[in-house]
Amino acid sequence: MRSTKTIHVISCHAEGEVGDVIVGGVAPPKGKTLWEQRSFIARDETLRNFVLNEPRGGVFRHVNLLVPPIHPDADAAFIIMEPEDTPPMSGSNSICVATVLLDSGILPMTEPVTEIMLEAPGGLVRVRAACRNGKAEEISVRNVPSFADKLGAALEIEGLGTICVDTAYGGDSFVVVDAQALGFDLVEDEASELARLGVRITQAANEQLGFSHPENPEWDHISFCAFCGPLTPTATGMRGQSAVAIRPGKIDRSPTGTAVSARMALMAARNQLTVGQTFEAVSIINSTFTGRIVGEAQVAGRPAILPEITGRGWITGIHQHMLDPDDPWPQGYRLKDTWGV
Amino acid sequence: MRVIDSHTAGEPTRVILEGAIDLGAGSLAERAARLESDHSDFCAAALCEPRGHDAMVGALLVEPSHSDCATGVIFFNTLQNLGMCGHAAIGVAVTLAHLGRIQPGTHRLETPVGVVEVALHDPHTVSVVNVESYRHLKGVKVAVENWGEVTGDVAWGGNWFFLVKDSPVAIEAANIRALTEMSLATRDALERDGITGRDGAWIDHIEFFGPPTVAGAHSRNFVLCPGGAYDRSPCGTGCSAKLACLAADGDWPAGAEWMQQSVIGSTYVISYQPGHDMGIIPKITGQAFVTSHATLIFDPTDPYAKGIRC
Repeated sequence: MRSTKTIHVISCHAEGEVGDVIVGGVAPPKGKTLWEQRSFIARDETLRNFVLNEPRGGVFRHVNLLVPPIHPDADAAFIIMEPEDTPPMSGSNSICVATVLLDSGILPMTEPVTEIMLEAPGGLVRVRAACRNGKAEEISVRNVPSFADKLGAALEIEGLGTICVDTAYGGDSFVVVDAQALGFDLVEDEASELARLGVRITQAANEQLGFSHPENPEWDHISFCAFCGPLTPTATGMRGQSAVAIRPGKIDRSPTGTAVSARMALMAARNQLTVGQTFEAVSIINSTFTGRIVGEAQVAGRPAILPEITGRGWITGIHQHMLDPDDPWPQGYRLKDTWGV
Repeated sequence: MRVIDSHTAGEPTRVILEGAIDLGAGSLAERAARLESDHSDFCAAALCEPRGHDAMVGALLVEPSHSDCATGVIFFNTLQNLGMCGHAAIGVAVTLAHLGRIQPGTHRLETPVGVVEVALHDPHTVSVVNVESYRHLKGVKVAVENWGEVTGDVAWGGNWFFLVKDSPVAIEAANIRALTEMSLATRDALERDGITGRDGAWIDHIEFFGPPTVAGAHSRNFVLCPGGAYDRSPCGTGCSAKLACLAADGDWPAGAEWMQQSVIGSTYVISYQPGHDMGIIPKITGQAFVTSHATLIFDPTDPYAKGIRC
């Protein structure tokens, strides 16, 4: 057996969305902060290409790299790699990382509740895990302060005319559109059309509206488009379906933790949801995250919410990714049938 | 479930070393039938998201019924069993070599549709002898919606193919979406006009050809598979159908090596010997590389333990 790389991975999904975790075989990336390390990974591309591209990866796969934490309060740290982005924070990936850390024993588990602090490039992430019989059954992730940016902005989309959108930040940046107004029921059959249109809307939003995080000027774009269905009241808040289009063109199988946070920030800005209330978010495959506003905050003087996302993760396998020195595709390959619109 | 992943000329194979399912006794065909009837979730669980993806072909290793075979193997995709699969047979041979279970030389793999002979030349390079292949129809003209008239041959290479010599769209990775749309429209047109393989068999593979871009290659192809995905490799059965057409036209002699390049740029070297009936016996030589060792885990509380179908 010859292999010039041996990357140890525990694979996982959170409510259907894949978030594999590299637990060994990769030296910590260069950088004094997690953000610098994340920027090195994004710039260097070697690791991203190896694990995200075919034949080892695919457009549906996210991979997280565990790194030694830098912040003194953190128990573990991770860098998120998505097909087109190396984002500051991701809800489904945080759930996968916490599930892998606890279920595989990298961090000690205390039943019935384990509290851990994770460090993501976007900041510290407080995690509370409900644990039973050695399994983290439900992960609650405290997300970064989330805020509405533009409410009811006009956006020109070629072929569709002018549509009304919101933009918001929930650990990642979103353009949020009304699915019903565009004729979508958010069912599986629409996945391909939603993915293509979502990427066009994201592109138009970047050109016409733009986004810049007031405290992290390096995060200066809109990543995703969230198609949101109608809201219905529940005993503790609201329930609603959504579909998030992720570049280069797929729909998140989970309800997208950062989208749930961004949507709650928008709901708070419109006085539809307040501190202590929950938002039950349903994905295109009918899996659920429960969001909760746990507090209020400010981001550079703007009103923001402190969101918490609760969802379930499951380990799906243990892998050793290898690279034969004769393999003609050490960086893998990506093709436009699945990788681009 | 212990698996080894590999790719053959870019096309992925997942070899299942320990399937953790009991297929009982009997011939390989009987055990394969039991895999489909009694374990209908197996294919999707092993190959669909979140553990796999659409393009993967699975190869479940089982005890052979013939003691002279290196292994028994049942090929399958995300939906059902496959009789024989060229790229996956190459992947299985390279995986067995990787495990030290076979050495360079000739080996026999037992499949539900018969014994397949594979020759391991080095740890990555394998030749597979395919079933007898033949051309069924020559120069069939069909009006394809949005693309105009297309002329092609109908041939058998282990699957039914419609082969178009001069693709109106250049065969290159950047054109995959257009090539896919054109191939789907061509398949619809064949169905509409009642053009089939022998005994009314559905032509489920469409293959377009154009000039190659690597030295030594004779042609480049794009192959649309039944599910609407395209083959990353030059497609073993598609190459066999191509050789059958070349032989029938007297354009390529027995024993001579033809290099077929895929849409992503990978290559197979193919040749043939005369068959027993009207056809040819094709040989396909390609390279595979192991990409991962893995243990798949199926938590009974996981709602997607049987895979996600999107």
